[in-house]
Amino acid sequence: MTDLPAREALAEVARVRRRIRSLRWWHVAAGLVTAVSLTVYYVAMAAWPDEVDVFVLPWLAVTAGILLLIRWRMRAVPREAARLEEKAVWISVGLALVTIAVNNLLLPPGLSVWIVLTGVLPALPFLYAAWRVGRR
Amino acid sequence: MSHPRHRLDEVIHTPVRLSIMAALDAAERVHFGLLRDTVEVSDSLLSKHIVNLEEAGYVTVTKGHEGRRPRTWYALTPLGREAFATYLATLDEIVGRVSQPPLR
Repeated sequence: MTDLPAREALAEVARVRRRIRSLRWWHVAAGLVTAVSLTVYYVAMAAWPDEVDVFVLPWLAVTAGILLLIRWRMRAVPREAARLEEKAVWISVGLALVTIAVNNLLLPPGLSVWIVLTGVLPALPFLYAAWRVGRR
Repeated sequence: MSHPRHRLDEVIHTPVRLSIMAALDAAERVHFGLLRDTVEVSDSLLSKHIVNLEEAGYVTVTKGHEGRRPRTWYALTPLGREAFATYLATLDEIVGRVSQPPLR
């Protein structure tokens, strides 16, 4: 191998890396959709509990549809993404329990800043995972 | 035999397999279609090179379904990642060596 092929090989490695890494934005999008969906869900559950039956199923269906579409477009899984997303799910479940407990035991019903803040809690792990995947 | 080119891994050191290894090294796993489009080869040629890499213990293949459609994913094994890192280091060494001014 002479100088040129070695440089060409390194250039090809760089090209391929750029192409594969550019697809990590699908994972970022999935994380953001999940975070927004969770926040809207928990805020709505606490602020308008009587309307739950009306909005829950359509909202879950829309979210699931968007996530399925994104998942279909995901043709590369970024390094660390699988580990980060699995952790995000478990931490989010824990924070959701905190949100439900605080909303039911401490906060008055109806929309308030506190309801929004507790509603954001379960979304935080997905926002963090999206940020970590996006910055690599 | 002191020149670093002698240490280049022959399994990786072909244009198609180099591109496959670079793609797989950039992700946890990559879908067959994306790999084929990125490397710009036919399905059959990609499969042939994947078999070579699999036999060397560098690549694992996971076949599954999403809905009714079959999906095949490829990933580097720890051995494959290590081999590719060594290969890149050797390339860097060659480039660095050739870039040095000639001796008089």
